[in-house]
Amino acid sequence: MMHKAAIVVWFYLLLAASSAAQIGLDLEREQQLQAATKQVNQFFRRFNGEEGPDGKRYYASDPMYRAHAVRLAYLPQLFDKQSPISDSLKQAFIQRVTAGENEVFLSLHEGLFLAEVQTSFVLGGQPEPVTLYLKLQKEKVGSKWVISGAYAPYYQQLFKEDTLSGSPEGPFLHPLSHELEFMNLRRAFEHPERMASYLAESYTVDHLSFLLLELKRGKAYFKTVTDVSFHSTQVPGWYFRLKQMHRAERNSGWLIQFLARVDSQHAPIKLQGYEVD
Amino acid sequence: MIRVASLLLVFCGLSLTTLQAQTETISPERKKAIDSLALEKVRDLSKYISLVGNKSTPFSEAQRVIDRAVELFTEDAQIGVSSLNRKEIRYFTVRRYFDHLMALNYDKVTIEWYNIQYISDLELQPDGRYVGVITIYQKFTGSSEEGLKYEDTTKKDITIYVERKQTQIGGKTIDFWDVLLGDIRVAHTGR
Repeated sequence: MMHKAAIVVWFYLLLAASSAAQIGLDLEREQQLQAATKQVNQFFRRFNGEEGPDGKRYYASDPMYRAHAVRLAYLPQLFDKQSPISDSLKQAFIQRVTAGENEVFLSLHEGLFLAEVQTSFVLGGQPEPVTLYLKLQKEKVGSKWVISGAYAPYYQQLFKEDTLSGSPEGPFLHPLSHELEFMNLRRAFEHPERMASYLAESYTVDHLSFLLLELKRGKAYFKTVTDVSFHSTQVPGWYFRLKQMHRAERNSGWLIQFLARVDSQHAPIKLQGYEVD
Repeated sequence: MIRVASLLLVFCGLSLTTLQAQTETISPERKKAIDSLALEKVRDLSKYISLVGNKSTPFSEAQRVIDRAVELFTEDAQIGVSSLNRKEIRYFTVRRYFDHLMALNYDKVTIEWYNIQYISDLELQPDGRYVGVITIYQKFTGSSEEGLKYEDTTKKDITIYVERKQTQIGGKTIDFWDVLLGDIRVAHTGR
């Protein structure tokens, strides 16, 4: 049984050697690309200790598969070093995910892994940003990503002027309206900009439904994707955001860009137009 | 054996029957064989990109290469390109992407490939096919006679679809795994 520290040293030596052994155009650039976390899939493998320093996939039958020392070597490399995440927070997170019998491994199929996709749609004749939230859904055979929410500033502003919402001065349907067979509803719909006063407290604006309606009516169409990030709460008590950093250095690719505790003593994570599970 | 069957398919034009949804687990050994078949197709694609990008390739030859390249892909495959300055993805068909590459306004173009690739796990999708992504890196250098030089490195994330198929050879039914390329995401990574 090799000592853990020795495995870490071996790991680093092999990482350097495997890069140097490449027949390359530009050795430094090649080493950067070798070190970059090239896919979200590779982020999972490195996080879980399922990949060797030479990029070789470790399978369950491999003695190094998910080895503690391999994880300790990889995990610090999976943070964006240009992000403001403190070293102490990183350390606490690494300790949590490598803690003895309570070790945490990530999986694409375990849920609590949300994709946030920044897109552009033409709405009202103009290109407008729309954030789409997608999650992986199990199917009878295999799985697929499905859209589970949307947020568009274009729709949000339509509700912004509704300042009398919930205020006693605002319009409302009086409590005996039912005796008049709600004939006064006519008044409610005369002023669409003040509709919120007539809506249940529990009502939330659903931008995805607006978008679907406009798409079906030919009033909106998709233009392009502009950015992607992922939100994960798979590690109990923790939230992290994953983002791809395109830059010519080793600390690049898919990296943890934001990290926070989400236990009962800390505020829940809320995204624009979406609440993280 | 799998590769032999696949080559026979290409050269003899034998008819195929796609199997119903396959839900069997792919063993590590099978995965390695599929990876190597997929990488072979990606290498073919890389070769075709280099040939079409090369200014000394005659037009007629480039057109033949483009036809071969298109055959590597599923019918509706698209290529999505973004740059560091322009993050929005522009969409091209495979043929248009190659046409665009051929029409680049440089006197000399060099396309080289870094000796780095990453192959994802294969995921089962609802239609019974497996899907994976292979990432490769390309270095592009374009220069004009006046000495102006443009250089970039792009990351290419290439979708691969893996499907189990059957073919009849000499009265025998032979199963094999076939790989087709799908959408490609091209992103600039800095110099």
